[in-house]
Order: sequence, then C-alpha cells, then structure tokens
Amino acid sequence: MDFQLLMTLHVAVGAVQKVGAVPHGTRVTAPIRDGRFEGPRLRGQVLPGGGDWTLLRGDGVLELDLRVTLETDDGALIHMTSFGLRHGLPDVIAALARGEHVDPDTYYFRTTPRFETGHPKYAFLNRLVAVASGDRRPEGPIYTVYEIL
Amino acid sequence: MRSRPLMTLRLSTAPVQDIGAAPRGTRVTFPITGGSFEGERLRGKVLPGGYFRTVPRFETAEPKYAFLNRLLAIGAAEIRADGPVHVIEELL
Repeated sequence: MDFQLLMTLHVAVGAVQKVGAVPHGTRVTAPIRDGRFEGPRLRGQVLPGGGDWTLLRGDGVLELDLRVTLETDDGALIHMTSFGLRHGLPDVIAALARGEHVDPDTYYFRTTPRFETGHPKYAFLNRLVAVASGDRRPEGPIYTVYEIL
Repeated sequence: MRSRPLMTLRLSTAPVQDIGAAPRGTRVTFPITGGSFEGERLRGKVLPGGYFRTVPRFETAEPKYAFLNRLLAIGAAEIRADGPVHVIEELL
C-alpha cells in the first residue's frame, strides 16, 4: 500500500497519572499539555486538555489511546483519536522508562489516527485512514502521520 | 512508512440490515455469514458474526499466532457482489 506524508505531530505530556493495576493491565494516563503539527496541507497547535490513555498489557505490549484537539493556524478545530501499540526488547523498553532518548527504529511504535472536523477546508481528513510511526522522546512523543492512499 | 502483506480476507455477507437514521448518520450493518483468509503466515475460515473494519486488529490466545496481538494492520477493501475482499497488510 502507498502512503503520503500528512503531518509531523509533536505533543508535550504533563505529569503522568499512574492509575496502576486494573483488570486488563497497568494503566497510566498522560495529560497532553500542548504541541505542534505541521504538514503540506495543515499546520497549527495542539490544544491543552487532551490525553494519552495507556494500558500495559500482560503480554508486555503497551496500548495507547491518544485523544487531542488540533487547532489549525487558520482557526479550524480537528478532533483526533489514535489507537496505537508500542513494544520492544526489555532493555530498550527499560531505557524508554528511564526517560532516555532511544532510536525509534529499535522498537515498534505504530498508531492509526482518525480525524473529525466540521471545517470544509479540512473535510478531507474525515475521509481518510491514516497510520503513524512514533518516536517516544522524554518530553513527549513525535508522530509522523501518513495518509493511506 | 512501509507495510507488507498479511493476508487476503474474503467475506460473505447476508442481506444488509438497514438500521436507518441513527444519531451519527444512516447506519447499515452487514451480517457476516462466513468467509476465508489466506496469507503466508496464517490461513483459515471466518466464523459467522461480526462486521466491517478498515483498520483490523487481532486478539488470539494461540502462541503460534501471538504475533498478531503485537501488530497494527491496514486493509484496503474491494466490494464485490458476494461480499467484500480485504487485502490486509501488516504495518512495519
């Protein structure tokens, strides 16, 4: 399948909320403070108030559920949700947990963003399926988001 | 971004269930009556029940297929008279 770059999205996370051991795994919520996104057809800022609801499953895979509102530079609001998976070798995951910067090619971090907007200029986002590769930095993840053609 | 073939999924659908105008729009459900899937690493049949998805996700308790629990996939579907055919690729 073919992909086309949609945008690069940087999000800054606030103090995480360690909910702890829940029936399906270990849950940690990361509030999103702010962020930026930029691509050929859209650019702007991430509004405060979003979050990434993560669940570390019993098989060692981290499920991510990112929900944020994007505001384009020309004032459109875009609701973005993104389910993802992150996993890797134990020493790599341990380095991430220590807050170190790790080469994103050494672990699996993929998500499937979806968009909703009422703004006509950005209505194309309502009609596409996207995928993203993640790079988990100490200050927050960077997602490179691609439209599936 | 790269992906590689995971499987081709062929579904047989029963007559659609036209649920009509729901709060999020007009909803139509396609009952799945069966089907088959085939790829290099897995093949088999589809059990009745369930419906359409475009970003497939898998859950299995079978160790041989545990790799499916750890991947994200994308599907491009072609609608045919006897049901959709999904070509599903693993996101690398």
